[in-house]
Amino acid sequence: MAEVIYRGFCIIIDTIAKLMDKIRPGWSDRNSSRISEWKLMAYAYSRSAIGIVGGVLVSIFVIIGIIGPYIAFERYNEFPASVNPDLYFLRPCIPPWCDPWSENLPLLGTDNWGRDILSLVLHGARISLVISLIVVALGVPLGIILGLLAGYFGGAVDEVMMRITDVFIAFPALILAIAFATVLPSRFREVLYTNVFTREFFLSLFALSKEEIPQLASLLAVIFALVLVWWPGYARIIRGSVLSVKEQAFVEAARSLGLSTWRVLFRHILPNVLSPVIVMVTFDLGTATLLAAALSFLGIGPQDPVPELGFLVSKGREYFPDKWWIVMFPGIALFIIALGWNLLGDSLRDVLDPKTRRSLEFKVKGKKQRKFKSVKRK
Amino acid sequence: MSKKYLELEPEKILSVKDLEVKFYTYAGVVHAVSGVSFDVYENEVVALVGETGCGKTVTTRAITRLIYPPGHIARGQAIFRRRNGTVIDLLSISEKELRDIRGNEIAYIFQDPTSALNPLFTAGEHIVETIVAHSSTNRKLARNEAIRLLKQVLIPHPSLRVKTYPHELSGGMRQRVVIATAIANKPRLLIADEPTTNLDVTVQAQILDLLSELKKQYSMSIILITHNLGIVAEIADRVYVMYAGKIVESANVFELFEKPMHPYTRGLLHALPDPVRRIEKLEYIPGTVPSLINPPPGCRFHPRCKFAKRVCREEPPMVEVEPGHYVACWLYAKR
Amino acid sequence: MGLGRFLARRIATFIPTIIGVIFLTYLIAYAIPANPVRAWVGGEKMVDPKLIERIRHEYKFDAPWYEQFTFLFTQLISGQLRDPVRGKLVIVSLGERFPITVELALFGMMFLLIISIPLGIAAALKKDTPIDFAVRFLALFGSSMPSFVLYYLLILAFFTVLGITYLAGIPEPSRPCRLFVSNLPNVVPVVGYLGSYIGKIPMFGAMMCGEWSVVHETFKRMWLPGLALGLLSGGFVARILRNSLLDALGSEYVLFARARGLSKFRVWKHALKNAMIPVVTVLGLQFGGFLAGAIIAETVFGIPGMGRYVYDAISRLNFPAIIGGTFLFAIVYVTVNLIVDILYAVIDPRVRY
Repeated sequence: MAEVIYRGFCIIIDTIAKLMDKIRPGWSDRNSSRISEWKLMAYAYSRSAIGIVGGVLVSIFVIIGIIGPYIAFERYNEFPASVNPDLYFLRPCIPPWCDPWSENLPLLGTDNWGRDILSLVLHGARISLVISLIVVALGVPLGIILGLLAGYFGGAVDEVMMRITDVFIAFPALILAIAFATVLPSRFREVLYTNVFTREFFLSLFALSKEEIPQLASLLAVIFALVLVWWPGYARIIRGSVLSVKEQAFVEAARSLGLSTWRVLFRHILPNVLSPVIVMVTFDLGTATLLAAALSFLGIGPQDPVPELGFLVSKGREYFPDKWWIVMFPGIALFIIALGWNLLGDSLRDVLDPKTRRSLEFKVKGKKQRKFKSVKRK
Repeated sequence: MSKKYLELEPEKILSVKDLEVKFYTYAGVVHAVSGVSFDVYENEVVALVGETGCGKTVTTRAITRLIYPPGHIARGQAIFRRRNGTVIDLLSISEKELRDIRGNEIAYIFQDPTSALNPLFTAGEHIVETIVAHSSTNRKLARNEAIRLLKQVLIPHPSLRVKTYPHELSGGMRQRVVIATAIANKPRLLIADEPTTNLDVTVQAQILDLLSELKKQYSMSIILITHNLGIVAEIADRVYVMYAGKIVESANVFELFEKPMHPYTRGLLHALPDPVRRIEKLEYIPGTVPSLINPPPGCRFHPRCKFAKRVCREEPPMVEVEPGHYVACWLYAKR
Repeated sequence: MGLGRFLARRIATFIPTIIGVIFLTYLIAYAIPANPVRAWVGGEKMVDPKLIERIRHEYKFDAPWYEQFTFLFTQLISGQLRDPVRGKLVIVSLGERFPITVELALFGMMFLLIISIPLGIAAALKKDTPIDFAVRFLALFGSSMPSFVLYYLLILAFFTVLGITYLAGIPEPSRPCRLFVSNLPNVVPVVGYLGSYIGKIPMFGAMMCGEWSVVHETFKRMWLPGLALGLLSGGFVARILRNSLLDALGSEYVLFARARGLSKFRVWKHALKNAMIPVVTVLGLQFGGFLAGAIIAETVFGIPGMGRYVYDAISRLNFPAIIGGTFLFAIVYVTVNLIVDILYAVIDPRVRY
């Protein structure tokens, strides 16, 4: 198993190297050490059980996030119970104890409108995926850029930015997100009503229908609130690493060569402060999913009939504990999503740690030396 | 206590025999120290010389069993004469008895004073707890003693300095505190592991002077670990040269500098710049230190040695070429 | 040495942070909402225009921004912010509920310590064994589990199925007892003040008057939320303790302590004192986190604390209450962080510089 995964990664790496050779001849020669480094990482990852489980969970989640709304066999905004009252609060029917095919029962039960929980969860996965990706894709670069500027320029710029960061960090993340998410929707609603393109773009991103514009505004408010909560942590960490990196000789050298500030910042400093960020981002994709769900749970995010997982749990509260499945299955879905990211992050921390790679290299050397040679040999 | 009858010549204080230390690591078993034997006489400074990673530190730590997993002392004896005259094997006595000896009769000075001192404890506390651990004095008296010791290692304002934390002291001052803790119980044997490596050159000389001063005063024996031959020439009486976990040559210091025998020792001495002569080209030993996971068979130096013969793949005997001058090399072995 | 100076400097950065917090609160209250007045009276629902007019005037929506800011500043600092729905001062409502939230957080801390300290030490001593792996799993479990889902799982298990706990509400000491506690400052001079504050926390108040049945009742209700909070971060804290303990045990100063022949106890003292530094920081942050997380725990477990108040304010879009609650949460959080920093400086002389 591990061997197959490792081989697969090697093929991908070799393909990338070949592609780069096509674009810039001689690339793989110049970067042979980097390529063997990548292969070592792939080796370390393939031997980490935690990493593989995490990778599998995340892959499943991402695939469901992409195709979920299309394979969901019922639309979230159809209410079968209004047609057929028998579908109201059907119990879940899980295989070893119960056969959903012969009994003709839903796998994970139905809710107060007779909607199938499984299909709601499939749709909810899309919403959670989009939220976490946007939050991280906006919040992290924002934090990185502000941290870079503060660390590099120092002085008044640094002082002002760090005081602003302090203020944001002074609030507990959940509370600040709540405050923003309660005030932002009205702004977004205006935008969505006036700007057709934005509206259509986000509706299709979340796979929602047109009636849900107010809910979409709430979703965007949650996302935006989380972005505002997310950047300060990154700004602080990046600033710290920039402060230590910028004193190093290679930065001095780059500056004395007369490179522009931007070039020094982005070509020489940024790559050297990014490595902890990769691991943090992986963890944060899970955390963002959970925090967004927590906001929806508190009733700040989208409302009926949008099947946001946290909101589904909060809807199930009224019927808890009798109709426990409405709370549990969306909740378990959230748990599995976050677990996937956390497992992946936990193993990436080991894989990306140069110390682990060195000890692996030591161990593997001699036995499998051929494997780590770069593609050139082929 | 071991049942065996242990013997130690009266003029010796410590005799290490056939010591073997292994480390079980991820990458394989590291044979850090393989069959090392050496003696320390009363009142002498013995230098243990060799490149980084040749097992000097491990050897000295193994003497009082300061080897923790993944390390393991596989074999050997360390026969030591205690203050009360009893002769014991440090590698087989109980943990409790050993604790009684550590810091009391055998004391250590570690290489890096910054990491050897606990940042959360004051300089004084380090000394006081060492004294209290080995005697029945109360903390107050121990504290006065600490001030006296700090004064003795030439720390200015000792009564103020007892209260300072390590981070408030300079590197040289920290090493003086470490030395003060080491001599707190007037040890019979002081093991100084590269005591000056992490210090400024000017401070190095002061620390060395201090050590020889203390040696005279307390009539201690010192095992000095170093890779700096200048220091060896300055204060050592006898020298053991280590290479890749084995002792390759031993002699008194004049003999060794005058007539180095082992090709490795010669290489080491030639790699030293001579301030008198104009330097044409500094010689060096070709190749690198071998991996101790799969050490070369026989003489471990043979892959780098320009005199290597086929016989070098077998274990060389330790030959006494002159009285008190031993070398483990096939060049001098009569076959 | 420089502890006093450290304190002065740390408190000096505390004040601009508070001003910043108020400014951010101002932005949320006045600048970001599309129609702040409507938000303040309760969302976008149709409301009496007269009420809107009154609110507009009362809360200075017709004034320029700096007047609005100073208005909010003085209102928040002096605690005069009034909840337009109930007509009660926000600070009064929050003040009644804050001790209950602290009680919840204390129960969380108790379980957190019970779970994390032994597990962390065990995992460090038995590195790479099933115990170590279990701690790693608990850490991953805690950080992956949505808090509210864990709460419902525990309720399902211990309340619905096993029926060994009670839910909702918080036992309070009797009326004479509360009077006695609030009267303490008049009885004992300095200690009395402290006592009356601590006594506001229901369980401690009851302890002071010897009403043990109330204490017993409190335990019966609070152990489950406390356990839930402890489970969520227990693995994480244990993991940090494990890592820092392993670092400490493998350090040169511990080896040097052994080389000096110190007793096992002293050697452990050297290792643990260092290992506790990151743990103390994390525990402090967790306490702040518990206070903030109370908003979810109190909602699920039906505890009438500060979080529950903010939750109710959100569902009714009671804006001044949200603002006041947000502000108070920030102040508490910043203060907890300040205390953690001071504690840190007390333990570790290096940060005092």
